[in-house]
Amino acid sequence: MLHNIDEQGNLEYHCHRPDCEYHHCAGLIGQIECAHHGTQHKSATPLQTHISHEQVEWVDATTVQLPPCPACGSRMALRVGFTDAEIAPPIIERDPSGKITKVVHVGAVNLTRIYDHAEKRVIMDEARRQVLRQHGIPEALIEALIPPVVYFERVIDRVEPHPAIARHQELERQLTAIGKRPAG
Amino acid sequence: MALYTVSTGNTIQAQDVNQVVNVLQRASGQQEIGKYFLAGPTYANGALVSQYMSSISRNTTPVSVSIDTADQAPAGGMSTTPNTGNLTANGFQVWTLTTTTNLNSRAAGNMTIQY
Repeated sequence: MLHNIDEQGNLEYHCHRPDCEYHHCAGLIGQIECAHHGTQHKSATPLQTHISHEQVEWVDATTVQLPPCPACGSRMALRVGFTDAEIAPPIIERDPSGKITKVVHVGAVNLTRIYDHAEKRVIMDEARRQVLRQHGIPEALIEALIPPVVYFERVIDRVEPHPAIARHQELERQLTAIGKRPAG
Repeated sequence: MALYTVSTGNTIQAQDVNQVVNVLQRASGQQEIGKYFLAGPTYANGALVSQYMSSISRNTTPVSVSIDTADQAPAGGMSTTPNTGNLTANGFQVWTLTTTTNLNSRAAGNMTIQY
C-alpha cells in the first residue's frame, strides 16, 4: 500500500520482495511486524515516484499499478476504488463516560482499525472474606480459600478507518484531476 | 508466520483460535504471502496470458497486491513483471500482454496481498 502521498502528487511505497533493498523491513529504523521476516525493522528508504509517471497507470476500474521496483522489478497494484459497503463505518457503542464498549463492523472488517490494549483487573470477594475473618480464620488461609480473581479486560482506545483508504482515494482523486482515468 | 498447535490437555485461549481466523479472514495490517506461476502459449504479439489467483483469506478487502519474478524471470515473450488487477476479497488477476509468439511464455515469483 502507499505509505505517503502529498499534495504535489509525490508517492512513497515499499517493495514487497523479501530480499530487495527496498523491502519494507530492510534498514534499521523502527520495528514493524513483517510477514516474511517476523518482527523486523522498517526501511528508511521508500520507493518514490510521481503520479505523472507513465507507469502509474490504471489496470481496471478500481486498481492502479505503480512503477516496477528499480532494484528487483517487483510491481505493486493498489486498490483505489472501494464500494460503500466495504468502507461503511462501524457502529460504536459507548458507556456514559464515553468509553468505547463495543464496535460492530458494518463494512469490511479489516478496513476499520481498532486500537486496543489489555488491562489487568483483580476482583476480591471481600464479603465472603469478611465472614471468614469474623470466625478467626487466619489471613493466609483466607487467601488460599478465596483467592483474588485476576483477568484481563480488553480496552478499546480508538477506532479509525484503515490508513490506506484515505491515501488510495487521494491517489484516485489526483489521477483523475490530471486526466488519468481508467480505460472504458 | 507459522501457526502453532495447542497441546492436549491445555486450555484453548482466544489467541489460539484467532491465529487460524486471522489466516482465513486477514485482519487490518496483515499480509497473505504466496507464489504464482503464470505461463501459456502465445499465438501473436500482444496476446494475453492470464490467470486468477485465489486468496486463502475471504471477507476482508485487500488494499494492495505486489508480485515479483524471483522464481522465473519473464521469458518466452514475456518481457516485464506481469500486471495485477481485479483485486477483491477473493483474490486477484495476474496477466501480461506478450511481445512475441512462443509456446511457453512464463514468469513466476512471490505474491504479497496487503490487508
